[in-house]
Amino acid sequence: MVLDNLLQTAVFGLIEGSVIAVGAVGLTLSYGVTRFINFAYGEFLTYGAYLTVFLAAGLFGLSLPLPVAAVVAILVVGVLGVAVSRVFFEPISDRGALPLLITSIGVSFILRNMLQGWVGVEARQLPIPLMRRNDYFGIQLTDLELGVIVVSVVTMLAIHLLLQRTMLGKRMRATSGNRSLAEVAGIDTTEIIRQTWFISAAAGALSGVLYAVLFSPFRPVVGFEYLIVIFAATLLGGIGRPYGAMLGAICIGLAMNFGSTYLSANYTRAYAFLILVGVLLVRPEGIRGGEF
Amino acid sequence: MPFDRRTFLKGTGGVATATVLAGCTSDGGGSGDQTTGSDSSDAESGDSDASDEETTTQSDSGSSDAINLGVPLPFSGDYAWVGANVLPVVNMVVEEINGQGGIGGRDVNVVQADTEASPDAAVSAVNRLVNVENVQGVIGPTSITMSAVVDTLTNNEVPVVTPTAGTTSLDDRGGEYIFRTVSSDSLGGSAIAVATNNQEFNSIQDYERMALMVGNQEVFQSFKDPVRSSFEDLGGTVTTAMDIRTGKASYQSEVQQMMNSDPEICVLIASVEDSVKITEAGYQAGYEGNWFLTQDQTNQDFLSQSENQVTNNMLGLQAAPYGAAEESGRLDEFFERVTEYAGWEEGEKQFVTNTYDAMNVLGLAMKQVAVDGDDVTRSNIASAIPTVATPPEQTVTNYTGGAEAIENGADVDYGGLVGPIDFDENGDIVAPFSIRKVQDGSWTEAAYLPPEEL
Repeated sequence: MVLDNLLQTAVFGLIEGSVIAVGAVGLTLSYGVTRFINFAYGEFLTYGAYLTVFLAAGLFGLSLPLPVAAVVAILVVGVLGVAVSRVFFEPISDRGALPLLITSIGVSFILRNMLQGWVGVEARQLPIPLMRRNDYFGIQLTDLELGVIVVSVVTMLAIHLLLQRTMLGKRMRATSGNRSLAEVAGIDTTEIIRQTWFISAAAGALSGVLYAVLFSPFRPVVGFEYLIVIFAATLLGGIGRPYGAMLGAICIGLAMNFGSTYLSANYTRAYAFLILVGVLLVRPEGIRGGEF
Repeated sequence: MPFDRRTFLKGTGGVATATVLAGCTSDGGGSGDQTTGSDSSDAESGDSDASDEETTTQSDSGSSDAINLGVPLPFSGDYAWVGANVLPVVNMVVEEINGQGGIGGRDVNVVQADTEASPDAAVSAVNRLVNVENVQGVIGPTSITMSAVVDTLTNNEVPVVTPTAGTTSLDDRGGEYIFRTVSSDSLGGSAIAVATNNQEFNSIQDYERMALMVGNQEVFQSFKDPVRSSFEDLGGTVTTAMDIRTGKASYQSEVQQMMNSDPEICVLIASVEDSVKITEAGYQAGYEGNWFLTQDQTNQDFLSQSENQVTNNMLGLQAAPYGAAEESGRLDEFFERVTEYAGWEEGEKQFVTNTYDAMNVLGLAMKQVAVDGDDVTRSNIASAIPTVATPPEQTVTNYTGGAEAIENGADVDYGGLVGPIDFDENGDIVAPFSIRKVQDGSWTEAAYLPPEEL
């Protein structure tokens, strides 16, 4: 019984960690090439979740199957990410990190209020059936929870392959390492940054969709509120380091769920930050050192 | 003194600008803050339009000596529905009052103020109503913000008749300035305990083991002790009484902890959104006990967000229609009237009957003060409230009838839609409850729980 509870809690931690990981990787990728913390990132989660709801539930006169709706929403949010970067961030990209950071807070308000003005503040949920948990070797999981883990693992794998095996990934790493040097080497860094914005925003949208699958109903503030957890994972892994972000997300997911189960359920997010502070005191560069 | 063309233009330009600005300011005071006529559609939408801190005027004349009534309620955010339900009823009765010649020839204005269901916003909203708008009475606020503003209201002797605050923190604070036309949560908590413990009142079984999951806000916590102590007094066992943080993404841990205590039924006192998550988490985890919900969740909003397999046989608490009002047809008449006035699809919304009673009591109290020849001041109105609502004088059931009786010199006793509205020494009323049960995605009546059973 004790072991079962322990395992079950660990699995819940991994499930939540999977959602955080996708978001954290997206955030850290954009930080890697832009070098500022994007507070508008949470809105990509929100837009991903809401667009999926509306594409699947018929707001635009469409009732797409949920996976198709999710893919369309992720692509649209990716484009939105590029548009946001071109309109708000590119023009001031040479002013330093602080103006960009403050601008990103403003952008997040604009995006959130636009959504609220459009769809209202009512709670929404994805049109997915409610399932009881199945027993997998003593661990209770719904098919959807299993699906979330699978999607997250596949996404991590895809990002790994992108970074290591593709020319775009190499250029992204080069731009992240030293933008001037990358430019001297003939890399169009502006184009690389735009492509990174697309991937980053799309990953945020996917994280939002996964969140919506697990934690419905949700409201337009969902992304902004969850951003704090994503930040914790990103910082824990060492900001700008995608593999660190994945690891950080799993740690945060586990800390939140173990804390909720064995200490008190009222301080879920506090556990995330307790772990973060503890680790950063010992390893300021994050749990995973190194460049990427 | 030299006086060239440039100086002249500057001077006249400045005067013109000042004049235009003064005109704008004057207009702003008159129409920017105050909208005239029926504003029920704004209120119904419950959106950001209604959330603005605006003054809604019910009289075309907008006379300067009008009597202002404040409505400090949430008009935006998660609880915007409360303001959206209450405001049209307030406007409807105010229109009736003004249609009858107002109070001593003065029209009544409704001043709405958005509390955003947040204590900070409520303090600012109520300060504005009391000190700037100089309101002579208040309809509201809700339990969520009552503690934050009750001192301001009582210290300024503002008569408050709230249709929306059941909080137990008012149990021993009312009677002089604070009155309510909604049952105290103490009574609601007892009702839940009695209905849970007794099959006669829940139509399923005598539950003996109860778990409590209570949101960590005053509006929810207010129910906790009454439910627990009443249930234990009845011989039941409370297996766990958990406080849960509102607005969390997931409640798996809390639900597991509740299930580990092995209850037969769990009384869930939380917002609709959290309740949907919690009951679904229970379903996913294979919880086989039942759920009991409070007034906040016993509505179609909760059911529309939940799956039928989760909600089937769930129990819920609601204020029951008052027998006398139902039998005489007054209740149906009111629902028809408010539906038409507000442009709603149906009139049976939460707090509408409580609001009708609150507004009639406040209106009749003002009328009584005016007819007695006293100044229509806050303290005089507060003193008149128990007078117009206490038996055994001539029973009246609406403002028009009551005002006529008062003008004819009668002492009136207002009998309302939610109950006889006889305030006790704490400004509280007793009213019956209805126990509802979910069947096939709809709330159905399981039992009627009269106040004498509590």
